[in-house]
Amino acid sequence: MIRDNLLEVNHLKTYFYTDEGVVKSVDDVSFSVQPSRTLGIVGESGCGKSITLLSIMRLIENPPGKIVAGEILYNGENLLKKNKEEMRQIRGNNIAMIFQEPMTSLNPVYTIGEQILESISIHRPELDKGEARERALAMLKMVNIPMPEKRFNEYPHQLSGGMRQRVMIAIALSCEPDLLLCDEPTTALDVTVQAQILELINDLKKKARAAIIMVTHDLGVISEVADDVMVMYAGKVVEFATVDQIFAQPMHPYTCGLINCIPSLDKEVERLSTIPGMVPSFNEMPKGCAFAPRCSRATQRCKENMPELIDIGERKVRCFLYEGKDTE
Amino acid sequence: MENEKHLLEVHNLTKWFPVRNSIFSRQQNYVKAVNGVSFSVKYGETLGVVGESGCGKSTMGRTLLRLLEATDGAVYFKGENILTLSKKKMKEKRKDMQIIFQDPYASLDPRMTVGDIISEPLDIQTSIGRKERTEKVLAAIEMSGLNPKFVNRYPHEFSGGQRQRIGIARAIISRPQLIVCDEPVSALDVSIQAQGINLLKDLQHSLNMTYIFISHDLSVIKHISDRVLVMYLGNLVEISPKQDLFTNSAHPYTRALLSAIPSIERRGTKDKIVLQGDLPSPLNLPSGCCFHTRCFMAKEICSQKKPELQQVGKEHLCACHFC
Repeated sequence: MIRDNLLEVNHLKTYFYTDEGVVKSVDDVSFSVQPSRTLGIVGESGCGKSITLLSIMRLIENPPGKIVAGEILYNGENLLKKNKEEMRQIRGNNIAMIFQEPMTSLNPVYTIGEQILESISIHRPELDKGEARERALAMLKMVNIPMPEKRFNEYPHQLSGGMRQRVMIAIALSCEPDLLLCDEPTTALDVTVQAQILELINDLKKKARAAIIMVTHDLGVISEVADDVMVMYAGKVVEFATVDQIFAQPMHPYTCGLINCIPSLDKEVERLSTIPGMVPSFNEMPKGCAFAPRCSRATQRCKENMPELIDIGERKVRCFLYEGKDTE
Repeated sequence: MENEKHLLEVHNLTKWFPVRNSIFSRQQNYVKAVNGVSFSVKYGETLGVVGESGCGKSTMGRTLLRLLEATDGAVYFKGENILTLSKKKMKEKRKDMQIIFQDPYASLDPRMTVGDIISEPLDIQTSIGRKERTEKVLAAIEMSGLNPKFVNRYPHEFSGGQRQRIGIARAIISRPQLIVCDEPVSALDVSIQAQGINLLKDLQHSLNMTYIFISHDLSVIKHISDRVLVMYLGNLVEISPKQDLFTNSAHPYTRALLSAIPSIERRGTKDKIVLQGDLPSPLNLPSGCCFHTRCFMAKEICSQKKPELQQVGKEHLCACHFC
């Protein structure tokens, strides 16, 4: 199936140059997203999923960070070739981002209304004051904030966590971006509020035909919102598949491990299966497959060589176990 | 009061924090964090406590151990009300009741070595000699799955998972009968979280301990608990043996909570109950049933009369007018 790609990331490498050495946070990552679809990126802390999003937004602080290779094609144009001013136009207008912490990403000294108006006035200078205000109120209504006229003049500290996250979403959507990047948007929220926000994001995809990239460590969240899933480990993509494939038949040992170590709500088990050890730190990265030291199926070859990402039908997996099965 | 089967009996436990609107205001307001909660814990079981942030579950855990002084109520630990004990007597009791904290980064003193941190609970037992102390520390370290070589290192040298093991070693060194686990694995990655949960289960088995396990994560609670207590805005809304709660929950809040969990196995199920609105402020509790402002089943009576806990099954209690 061929779909029009809204965003195409090819061989992206984002490295951080620190005193202790080079940290390869994102190492040769490629993927694409289509309108009306959600790509879920999942992995444990430090696997490079947030840095991938920041790289797309060109928000990597330099130094120490640098995008050293690759291309990020948005509607066919390479974002890495854009200058500061062009990038500023794209951010907010075309691509918007929702951050993890609704507590810290709003400015405490401005009202909710002022913060929404700020992005509208920058990206839609043709609107006059009254129109901009109407649009901001419409945004607040759209994200289901009760009494938007009242909230408009309130400060972030007067709102609960779930409300603040809604305001963040309202700001992100105020200029109708067609690509929405979400960095753990519900991690700081309670489950009942999380359910509300996820519903909102799913609605957006349907109504506004936006493409969404959802970064999270929570496989449960992924299973509810994603169409495609990309699993990352130590800066590399280890598996890529549709959401049905990944949960019905996970291929990479790391994906299997991740799925199995979540306590189940429906099954009763005495002991949880675990992935032994922990994610290697960047200065003790193994020579071969980064997951080999924790993998129960690792062979001598895994310890010495890094496997390539191989195509199996429409899926991709980075593991020697599936070599030669690419004809399926 | 005494019941041989119960290690802990809690009666009408209440914790209100006074707040004042301004320094000139005479009117005293209270944040009603825990509101008349009663339950009991059997020897050797794990009682899971679940609820959303701000529901008072951590405050309750701390009040049980007198890390916070209760406003009202009684806590019988092996038949003795510990809330009325003198400070000195309470100190002696502390070796039987310990706590594991949520944040593995903030709960360890960065200037103390791992050995000092773990051995600190032994300070109150002055009868222990130096040699015995070292032995105990090493035993606790080993039981928590840490390398004994780490004894002289400092907390910053460890990862989150290892730090949580240090916190666990500190909690078990005095061989307590009761441990309050306050979100012990919530800050950890899933693969590390599973290791932590298995460790806690193993230790409970080998040391014969009773857990009060506080978490917001229902799937973790389901895995580790024997019985589950659900809290909402400082009130106990439902308490039940695990199986019954998850298959046959009586309170609408519990049902909403269960259906809100994103779960791989229940993917694509459409009959989700999505609650509207946010948690009301504990400064200003709703009248009647505290849940009626968000409840999808609320009727007139709910805003007028506070529902009592009533029996709906074996050991299964629920506070709802319609259960």
